[in-house]
Amino acid sequence: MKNAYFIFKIFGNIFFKDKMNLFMIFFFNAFLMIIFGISVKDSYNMSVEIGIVDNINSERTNKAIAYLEEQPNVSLTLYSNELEVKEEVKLGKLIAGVVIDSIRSENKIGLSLVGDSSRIMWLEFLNPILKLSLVETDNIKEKIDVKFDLISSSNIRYFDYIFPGLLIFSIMQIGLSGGIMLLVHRKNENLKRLQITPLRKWEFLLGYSSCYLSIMIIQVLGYILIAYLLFGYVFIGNIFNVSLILVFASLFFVFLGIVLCNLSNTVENGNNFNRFFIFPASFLCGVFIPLTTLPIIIQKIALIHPLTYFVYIIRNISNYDTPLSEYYIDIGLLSGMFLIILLLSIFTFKWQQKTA
Amino acid sequence: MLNLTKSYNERIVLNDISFSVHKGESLGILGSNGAGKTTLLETIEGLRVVEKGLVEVLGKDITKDYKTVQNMIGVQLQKSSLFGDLTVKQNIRLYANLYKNKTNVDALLDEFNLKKQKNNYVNNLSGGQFQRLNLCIAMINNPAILFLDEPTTGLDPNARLLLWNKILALKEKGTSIILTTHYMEEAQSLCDRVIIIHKGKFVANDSPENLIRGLNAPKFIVLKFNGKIPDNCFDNYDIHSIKDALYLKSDKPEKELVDIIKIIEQKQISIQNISIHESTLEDVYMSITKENYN
Repeated sequence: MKNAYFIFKIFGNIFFKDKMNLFMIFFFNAFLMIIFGISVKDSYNMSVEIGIVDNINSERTNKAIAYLEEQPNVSLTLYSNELEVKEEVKLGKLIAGVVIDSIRSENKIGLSLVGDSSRIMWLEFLNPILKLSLVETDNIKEKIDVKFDLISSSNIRYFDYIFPGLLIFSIMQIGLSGGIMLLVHRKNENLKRLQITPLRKWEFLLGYSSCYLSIMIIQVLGYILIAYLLFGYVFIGNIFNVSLILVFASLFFVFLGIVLCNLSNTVENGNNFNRFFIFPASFLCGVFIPLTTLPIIIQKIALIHPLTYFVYIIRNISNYDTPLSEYYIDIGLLSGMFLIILLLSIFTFKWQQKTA
Repeated sequence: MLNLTKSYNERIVLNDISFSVHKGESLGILGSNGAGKTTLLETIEGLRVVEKGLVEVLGKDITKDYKTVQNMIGVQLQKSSLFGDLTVKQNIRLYANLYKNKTNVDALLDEFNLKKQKNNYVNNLSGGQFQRLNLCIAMINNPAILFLDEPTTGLDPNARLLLWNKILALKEKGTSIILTTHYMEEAQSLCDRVIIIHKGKFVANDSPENLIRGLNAPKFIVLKFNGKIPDNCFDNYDIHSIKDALYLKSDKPEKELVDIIKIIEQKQISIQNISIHESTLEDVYMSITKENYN
């Protein structure tokens, strides 16, 4: 274990000394993320489309709706039933829906706020305004019962759509670049030199993978911070589940990188293998473009790529708070792949470049 | 090592090789490029698989106990194999930490004259400094045997001499040394015994002195003239002329030198330089491996 720690430390040191590597891996993706975020920032100034269903239709609620209409940047549409509003939110035509109902048994007004979970900020923005409007019109705030009704919409903010996938995509990039770095060290005979020390294979692999796992964690935390500070992104889902998937993806791609390194004899070979994974991932796996917009045959091909599953799971967990148990088939499939990758990375590991 | 045989793609690189090295002995392995010197060294170090035969290092079978053996040996590989993006001290620390029995890092830096360069990146070291660092790292675990694969290749004469002195100092301390080299002078200066590999087999295995003696090569008195080589002055000798020098074959050159000086004085020949050429390890090597080049 002690030796694994030294390997962890040394490779971490080497990674952070390579400025070009740092730029390409950390800052380039962060830069991309900011560009994506800024390109959709204008939507903050657009009017907020809200649908309202007033099932009470009293003087009090009418006054409240009129008050809401007076708010700047708010565009109200009245609907006759709740289902209609939900459908419009689902289709992305409305940012949020408001259903005003009476709870006769408790003599309260029920306020149901319908919206996509990734746009919860709009619901939180509406909540005090609605309460205020009802209070101002009747001054009986204790009788308002607010309920959030989160649904999945096809028209969420683009940044919210790409961000969870981008995290996994970056993890994949670092994992695969870790494999290339290993190839470079093998070519330079650094690994051969380590081979003639008491260091064992498993200690080396443990140290190396932990080093890249830590780099990924630092990167992911950095991206989350940028996303939160610049674009107000928050995980709607269970943060433990999100972390679990991120760590699993990190381990998966670190060991995939090692396997690709083991299968390649030269750095050039390794780069070709990486291209095979990264190039299709950029358009095929649903990171930037929704998978459903692609032809059926392409969607089927995308299922070969592990990134597709990771992106699908992380997006749903992060943006819609779906429980992990819903993805047991995908997680099981990924776990099976991971087991094979892990075993391959150990049994095919080579300290030396094959000589003629 | 007993009956070691190794082949690549059905080409036999090492053929039925057996030898042993005693404690404190320094052994030089010589051979042409591709003769199998590095293969032999790396097989003993446990870096290559023993296909046939038995390799024991410090009483341990390298195939079974290679990690135990690697804890007790010091190795300098032929190619640059240190982390160039790390400093001298970081490299030494890494390797020191991997061994149970390690020497003090600062003492090592001092011993190998690397204290001033300790914070320099390995990529920025000169050839001599780099090879000193390689040797320093090979010595990090106080090894009983040191393996050096062409330790002074590409070094300038001063750096080479400095490294030779370091190696000789280690030898004096009782470390056994096995080295490969292309420099016969190096083998002659550093090794108690040399092995010459030719076509995968040992063709010589003795001390440099015995090998030179065994060559029975003639000695020469070499005369270099100012201007043209004079005619008919040394007709009583077996002579060869190469460039502006005359090589006079002689069994007892020290004795015959007096007669030659007399002839030079009598005939008033203008001489630039007189020397005695004795056989070296290079002559032995050339004589043994000549067949290969022919």
